[in-house]
Amino acid sequence: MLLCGQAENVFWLGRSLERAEDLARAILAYEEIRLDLPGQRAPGWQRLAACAGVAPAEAEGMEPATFVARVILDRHSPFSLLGALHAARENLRRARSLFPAECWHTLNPLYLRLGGLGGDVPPADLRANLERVVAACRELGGHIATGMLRDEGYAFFRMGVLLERSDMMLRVVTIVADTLIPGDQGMPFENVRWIGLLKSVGAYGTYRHRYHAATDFGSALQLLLFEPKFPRSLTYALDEVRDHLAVLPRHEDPRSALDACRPACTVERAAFGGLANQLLERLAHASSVLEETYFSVALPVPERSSAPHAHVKRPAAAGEPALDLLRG
Amino acid sequence: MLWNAYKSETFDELVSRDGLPRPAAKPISDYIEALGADQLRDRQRAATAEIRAEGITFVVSDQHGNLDREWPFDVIPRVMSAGEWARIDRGLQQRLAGLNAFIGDLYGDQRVVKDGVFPREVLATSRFFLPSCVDMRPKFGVWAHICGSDLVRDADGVVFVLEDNLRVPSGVSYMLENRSISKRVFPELFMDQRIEPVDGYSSRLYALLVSLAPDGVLQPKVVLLTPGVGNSAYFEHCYLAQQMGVELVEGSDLVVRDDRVYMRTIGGLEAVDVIYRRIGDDFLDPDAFNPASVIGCRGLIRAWRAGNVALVNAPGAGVADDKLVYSYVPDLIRYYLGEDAILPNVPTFRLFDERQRRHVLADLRSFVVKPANESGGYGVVVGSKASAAELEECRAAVEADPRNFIAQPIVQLSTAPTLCEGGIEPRHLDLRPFILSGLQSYVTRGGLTRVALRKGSLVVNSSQGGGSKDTFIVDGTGGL
Repeated sequence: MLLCGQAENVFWLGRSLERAEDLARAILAYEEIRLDLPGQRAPGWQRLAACAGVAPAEAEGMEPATFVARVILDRHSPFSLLGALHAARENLRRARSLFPAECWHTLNPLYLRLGGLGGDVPPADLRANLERVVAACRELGGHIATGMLRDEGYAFFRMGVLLERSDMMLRVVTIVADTLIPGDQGMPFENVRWIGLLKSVGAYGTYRHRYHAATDFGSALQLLLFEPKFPRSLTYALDEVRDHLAVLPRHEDPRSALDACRPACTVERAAFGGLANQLLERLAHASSVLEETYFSVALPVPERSSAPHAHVKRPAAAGEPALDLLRG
Repeated sequence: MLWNAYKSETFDELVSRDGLPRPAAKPISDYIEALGADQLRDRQRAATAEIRAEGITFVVSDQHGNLDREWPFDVIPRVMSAGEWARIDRGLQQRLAGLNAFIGDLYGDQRVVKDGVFPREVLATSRFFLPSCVDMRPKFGVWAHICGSDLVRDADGVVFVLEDNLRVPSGVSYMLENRSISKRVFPELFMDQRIEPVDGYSSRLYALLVSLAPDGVLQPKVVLLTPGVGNSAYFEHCYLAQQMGVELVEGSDLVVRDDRVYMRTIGGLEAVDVIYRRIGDDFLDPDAFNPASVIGCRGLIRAWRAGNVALVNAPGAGVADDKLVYSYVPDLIRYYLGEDAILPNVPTFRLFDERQRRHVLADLRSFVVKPANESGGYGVVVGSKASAAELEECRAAVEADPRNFIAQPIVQLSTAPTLCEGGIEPRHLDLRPFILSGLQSYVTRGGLTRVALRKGSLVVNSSQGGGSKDTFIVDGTGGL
């Protein structure tokens, strides 16, 4: 069976890769919203920085250059995009044997390329690089989908991906919902924000296909939270994690923690902020129950079928000095 | 002409004194000549890019902490003839047979001491002799299953063994990666030449590890134990684990219960039968050795002594990886095998011997002084290159603890053409082949060639600014 340490690596590889992709998507979409919203209506970078995990005090009034340095290119930060790629690369290094060889050849050059960018990178180049991050992460997903053994390693990788995706999706929805000024309801600008949101979580094309022209709160949430056939929805993620847990030992606790993450079938607009925060907390709890169950356990010794082997040891010959052998 | 200006002050691996390529190296010299300087630089760039993309790195520590550095590689290969290699291969197998017999004897009856071949005082002061290994009898009588011996060639073309690394030798992954890069940047060369492949190593290593499992275990669980990501050879640990398809574990993944080793899996504890450990003896088991070790696993030595797990290399094998012990190896081969050593040692002065010490200290500039128990080139003083202050420091260190030092005449290491900023220039190098010993033994075809990239430097260690080359053993055209 999979080593606990390796399960942890693989789980965090999934989380880090998904985080890098989702952050890149969110930044790209956010930039697009900003360009569509005139002057004061444009949201500042602080919301996205806070969404990435920057402390509110630091995020407040964050300049674009600081945003690039802190949220995108800071290798040592646990919440930056490059930090996520760094963590993914370290995890993949150790778990390389479980993954198709192409994964390393996709991830490593991506990491080196992004790591080589300076803080003064022009916006167009930055955009191209973020698009590259999204593309490379999809490429990795493709290598894994088509080339990886469906074993426990795959289960932990997917669970990491899905939990992180749900977490990031809820955060992005929250910030977009927050920026909707009540007076803007039904105005063109609200539409811009919802389109931006759907793009940032990779759901825009599906949404158009499903709900056609207009974008509104209710149908967007319907898709993102409840659509069981949409692979980026919360319900889909919870269903798939449940399936992976089903084949793992000792899955009772993580499964109940996971089941608590399912929202009620309808969501009132006014209550959304509270619900999102509650779901985020429950997801975090489910993740930590999973980690406690599988990564750091005190385990019982299994029964051995064969007797211990003692053929190597030779009794000390008479006359030899008696050594306290175990003390060294 | 690329080679016209090329001139080495000493024996050169590719070019003879009259400026002509050595027979074994002729096709490769011609190929490089035909390629021309610009093309060669392009290939070097391609190789460097490949190393970067592949993530072939090693960790160096400096005052700022650990740095993950890209593996330095020179595209011009070092070439040796299959005929010459066959002799080296035999010599290394012989050497390891002698060394393993010696280690087993030291932890057993100590005949070699009783017969006066190996001095009791040297054994008594050995840093790597572990009393907790006394009376152990590892399978096949082998303690040093994996050895990396460093070979050098002097100005007359004679190949010597410079040292035997029997504790946790590293470098074999770089040998394998160097070849994989060579094949990518010089595909034409491999189509036209009979260059012996090197990539059988990982499967041989795996077969060796499996063969060492305790008797009665039919499908042994093999793991590679690494100190972790900060270790200079972490790349290699990941690489070998992946190549063999075994688990890469850290001390915290293992646990010992009732003298059996288990690894923690998501399904519970799973028994481990063979551990290829890349952690030094000191840190292997805090119960048995350094109690402060956090990278080892408590109880490992008890489990090993109980015969429930194989440790590879066996604990205590390092007793023969002492540069003072090294000086006795030709005698040990004669003593245990009744044969003369096929590969000579570099003449070595034992500084605990007062006469030899006086001889060396009287003319320190002509010697290399080495600590007996360090690796990675640390603490080595090259007399001819040292400052007066360094020489004084060295003299004081030797006088304070003569047992812990040896001295050797400075060997003018052979050179090979290397692509440098100003063109192709000679650079000094050595060679580390790897020897696997079990029921049978196996020597890599060639090894890791390490090259001192600085002009005139004799220090090839990668931790000290050394680089590397691929090593071609080519079939066909005779000797030197």
